[in-house]
Amino acid sequence: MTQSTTLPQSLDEMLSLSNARAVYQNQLRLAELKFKNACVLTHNLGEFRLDVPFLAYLTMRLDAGIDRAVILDVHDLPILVDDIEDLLDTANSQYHMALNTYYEEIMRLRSSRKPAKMVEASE
Amino acid sequence: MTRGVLLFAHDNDVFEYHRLVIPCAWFIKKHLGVPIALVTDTKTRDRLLVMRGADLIDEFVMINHTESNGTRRYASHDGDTEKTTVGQFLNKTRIDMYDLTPFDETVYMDLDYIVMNDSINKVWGSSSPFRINRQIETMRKEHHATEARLHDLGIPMYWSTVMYFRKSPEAELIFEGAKFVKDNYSYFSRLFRFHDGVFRNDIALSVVAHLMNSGIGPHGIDETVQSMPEPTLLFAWDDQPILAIDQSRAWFVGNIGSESRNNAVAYVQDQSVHVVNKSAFLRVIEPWVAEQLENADD
Repeated sequence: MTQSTTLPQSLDEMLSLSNARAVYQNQLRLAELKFKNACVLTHNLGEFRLDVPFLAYLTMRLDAGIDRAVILDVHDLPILVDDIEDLLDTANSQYHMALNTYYEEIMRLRSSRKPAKMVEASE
Repeated sequence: MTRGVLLFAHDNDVFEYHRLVIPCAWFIKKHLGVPIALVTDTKTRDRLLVMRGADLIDEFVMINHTESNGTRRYASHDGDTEKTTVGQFLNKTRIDMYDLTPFDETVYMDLDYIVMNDSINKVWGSSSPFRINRQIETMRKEHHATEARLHDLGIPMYWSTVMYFRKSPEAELIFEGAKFVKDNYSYFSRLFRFHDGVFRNDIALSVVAHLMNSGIGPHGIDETVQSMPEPTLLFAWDDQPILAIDQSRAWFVGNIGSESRNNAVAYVQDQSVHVVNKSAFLRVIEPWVAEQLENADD
């Protein structure tokens, strides 16, 4: 038989019940999710995961004087990239913006001891 | 090409969906800044028009008949399972969105999806004619209900919470296919091993997406169906009601149970969320948005 559970109705009430370690671990997970969500770039019919290897590969192709190439996306589909320099600019910008945000979030969490500070709620 | 967000709202005998429209529209305007069209009926529209913020809707698409799809439950704002109410589930017209939308490029969105960043704006001009997400996460990893497949050994589940489509032969085919699944729901339920109780747009579109991706798994030869710019949707389920909100941040009940060491408030910033508990939505989000509209008028 399902037991009826009345959930907290206010942020203050929920904060008073929250376990700091549980909040910390969950916020780490949500921060990672946000970062991964921000590191996806679609181009033509392809989806690319923005990470160091991808950026390095684009840079390498460009340095070799190649400005147009076929690149495999996350689904291993060959995608024609007409302008590698343009894609690299976009990818670099998006990746580093997401990474900086992720870093700031982790630093903020690490410097917090209480759940209220971890979730940026005023006490 | 014209572009905009398409919403659907039909009040039933239990729940006033029109009350979700203005908060949803406010966040769309705030973060996306695109036109909004609302598919609705006369009764729902009339209730909406007397509310502050109704002008956030740029266009009304009127349909006066909605086919009931059985009933659904609405959890109380605190997620108490013994305090749910039951109302008519009026969701069958969404499958006609391709014909109903006034835009060349459309993002469809559930009314309880709160936009907290501008990532959706990356879809405009997309090469893929149809985009829908397959992955979801919840406020707490240990929480149940992250359905990945229609059946344990079946095809992937796609979520119609927020989708993009462009007027094109491919997108038209997808929606025609979804209608075909709807009209033959019992047959497809046996073929793909899902429960055929209440028709769900998610399931119909999941079947079609699987077929459009060449029917050989999520990474078929021709990946026609791409995910949205943020490939993982964030859900706050009925027992994870929203507690507070501002324009780009929200706080939820992450998890709570008999073991206090698991209790956690969940906080998101600049992350869009599907707020499933509509009672909590009305208790928290509606008054906050109303205050913003009032301040804007002053």
